Amino acid sequence: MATVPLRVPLEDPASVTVSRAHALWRTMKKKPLGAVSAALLAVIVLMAIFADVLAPYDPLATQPEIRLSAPSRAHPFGTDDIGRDVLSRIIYGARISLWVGMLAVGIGTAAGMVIGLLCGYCEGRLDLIVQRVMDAIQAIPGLVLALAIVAVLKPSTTNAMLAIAMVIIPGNSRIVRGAVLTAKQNRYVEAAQAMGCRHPRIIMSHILPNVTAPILVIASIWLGNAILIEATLSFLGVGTQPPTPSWGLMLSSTGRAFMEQAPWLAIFPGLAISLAVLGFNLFGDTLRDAWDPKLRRSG
Amino acid sequence: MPATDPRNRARRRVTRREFLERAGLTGAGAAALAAGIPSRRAVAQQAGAFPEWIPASTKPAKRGGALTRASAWDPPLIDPRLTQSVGLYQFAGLTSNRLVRYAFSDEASGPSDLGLKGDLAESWQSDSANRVWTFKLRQGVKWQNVAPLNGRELTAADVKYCFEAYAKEGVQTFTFQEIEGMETPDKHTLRIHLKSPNTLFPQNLAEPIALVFSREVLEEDGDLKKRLIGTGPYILKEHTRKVRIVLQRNPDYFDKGRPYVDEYVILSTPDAATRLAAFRTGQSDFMWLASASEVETARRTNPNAVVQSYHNTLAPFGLALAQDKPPYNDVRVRRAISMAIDRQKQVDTVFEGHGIPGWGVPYIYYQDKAPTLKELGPWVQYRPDEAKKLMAEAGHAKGFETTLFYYEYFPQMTSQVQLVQQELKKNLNIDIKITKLDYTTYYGRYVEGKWDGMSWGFQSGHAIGLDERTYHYMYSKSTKNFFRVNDPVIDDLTTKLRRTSDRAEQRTITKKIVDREFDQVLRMWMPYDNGFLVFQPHMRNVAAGALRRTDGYGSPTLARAWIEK
Repeated sequence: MATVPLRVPLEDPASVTVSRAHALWRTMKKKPLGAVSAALLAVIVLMAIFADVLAPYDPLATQPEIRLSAPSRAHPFGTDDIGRDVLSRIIYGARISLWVGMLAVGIGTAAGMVIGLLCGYCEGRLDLIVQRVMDAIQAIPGLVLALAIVAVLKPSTTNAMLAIAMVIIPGNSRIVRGAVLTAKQNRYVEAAQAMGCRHPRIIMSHILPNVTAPILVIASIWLGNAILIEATLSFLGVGTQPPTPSWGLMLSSTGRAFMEQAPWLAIFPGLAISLAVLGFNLFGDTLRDAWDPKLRRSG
Repeated sequence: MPATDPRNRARRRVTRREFLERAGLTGAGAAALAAGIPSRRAVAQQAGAFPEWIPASTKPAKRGGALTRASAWDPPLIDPRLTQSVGLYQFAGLTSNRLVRYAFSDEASGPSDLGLKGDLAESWQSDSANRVWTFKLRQGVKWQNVAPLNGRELTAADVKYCFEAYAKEGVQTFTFQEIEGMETPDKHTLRIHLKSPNTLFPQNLAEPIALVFSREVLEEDGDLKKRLIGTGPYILKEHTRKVRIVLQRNPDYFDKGRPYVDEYVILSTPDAATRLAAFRTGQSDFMWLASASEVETARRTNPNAVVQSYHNTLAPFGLALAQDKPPYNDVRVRRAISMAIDRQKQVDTVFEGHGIPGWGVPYIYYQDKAPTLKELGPWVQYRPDEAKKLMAEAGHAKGFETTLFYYEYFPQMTSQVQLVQQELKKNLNIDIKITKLDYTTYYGRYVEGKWDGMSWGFQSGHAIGLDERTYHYMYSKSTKNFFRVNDPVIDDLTTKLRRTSDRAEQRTITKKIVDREFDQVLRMWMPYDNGFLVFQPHMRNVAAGALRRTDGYGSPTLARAWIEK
């Protein structure tokens, strides 16, 4: 990411090349909320990677004798309906959430990028047909579409992931298509065409590097949404299946059922979802501030 | 206007970033709140003992008022031929009658009173061979004064038509196909000829699903999906799917003076927290709670609520195995799985000690007291080491992979499913992939019986009759044999049981059936809650019997309830 130079038009007509990492660093220094969100995400990512080390208990190990125990020193987030440690399940739940989020967004972004690149570059009939299909998919609310896909397939984490990816594709393809159409106007693209460069090379070497910034910004925001959709699907019983520790599932299966007797079962998974979504959203904003030339100019 | 003007600040749109910041602060506050929650265990310990039986009120009954109940169930459809769902029978027993019924709570001697009473029938008797049953109908019973019946008199021909329709199609066919033919020698006499002797036939007609519906509606509409008109104490005024059911007092009901309450409204409320909130705010007059700690939570805000501690005579749910296929067709595998599950732990923890270890035939038919876990035989005891040995003998020392699908009827069921999964993994290395399904998918797949692996299965909760609980549910060729029992000994015993009229011999045969069932692990019953019925203090005569809960299949008893305000 940091190796791709970003051409940022400034007030001064002379262009200056600033590395993306540097631009991000400068924005974070100016807006500490961005740094906080980055730290929050780092914590979640580290939690997911080192869950085996960090979790005090096996997230699946049941101990019904201490079921629904309130938060204590031994179990800081309490225990659930069959005596599993909630903290450990939250820590392991980060893996599911991040895994689903990243993979779904990865698939959605990659597919959206390919479609957007082809439509934007080729234009014409292909663009017209494909974009109408995208319009049709976009007309269906995201959650309803995801629910329909999972209902047709079978309730599972993998299918939830595919459903989320399907929700992401149309929006991403539109954004990439727009960026490609703009990038195509650049003289260096015309020059490459005049020099007889082949289309794949023009796309890969001259257009793609110039559309990655918006893709990364959108992907970071989508990560938060994907986590939320996964949680919602699991909450509705069509996503991750028990006993896998998923934040959404924890919230629905035990959090809702035992809300009065053991409110910590709803509060902690809910908080985890909120923080993850908050982190990704704020980080997405920071990326946009850092990499969007228009925003940089205005402020 | 200056930027510092508070009115301006109030009107200013909150930016997305500001919203996110505030959301973060709210989350932090919620976490702090969680740290200060009191111990639930301490709350559960405060739950005292509640009476098991609430005797009939000695005060004179009062007329008027309206009852409301927030209900977990919603009828998928209202045609009694096509469903056994509690969603329908939570009110169909109030719109319609059966030929015979079990004693209502205010006329029963205790929760286990099994005496049959006449409902539409005044009397009934069989021939010496128990093949011909004659029912004398009550005279002057009128259909509800609703078109197209318009209050005409009920006749034996109506009942004959209804039973023929049940035999023809739908979920009750197995019960009614037993009938070889029917005669109506006069307007109020119905003579039923059975294909084979059955001493327990009247019990089958006392099941809540055997209600008498109207001929005219079926003939006019082609089904009963829109209108349900009966002879019962309440007239169905409204059924809005997933919203509410409204019943209004039938002024022409044959049991003069009853019902006492003018209107009964059932609100579709699938969420347990909403049901509790409705009860707390007086918008629901009674509810079911599974555990003592839930009761105590409710009584914190409603200390005058009346609580009946329920005691089940059977467990409707169990671990159903595809026992017609390997590896479950090997009795050693079934026994090993059964011994690898700690049932007592489930009773003590998931059901907070207020539960039963699980059996399918109501114990009242073969012994006086509820069986203990030990009495249920060696294969239900928790003996993981012996279970491992049996699995090795059966050639599955390394375990195997399988699937389990279920529907969450109540939250504790998910706890049970996961506990069983963990125990089978730990003790026998059986790797179970769980799938939680929606009700319609689950019910269809389970009842159709084409699944492999495991299911958290059931035998319909409506049935309490001995014949239904034995022959209907365990006979190899029965369409209600959901656990896929195929055992010649069971076939022989269940057939013999329905041909026996002597009560003592019935008890002996029933015990043999139960012993055989547990010995061969034909149905692997799982622990079940006893639960509590919680009433508003102004309700009278609403106690549940051992046979059925007032809120579900036992709803007909509500015709005898009243409001004392």
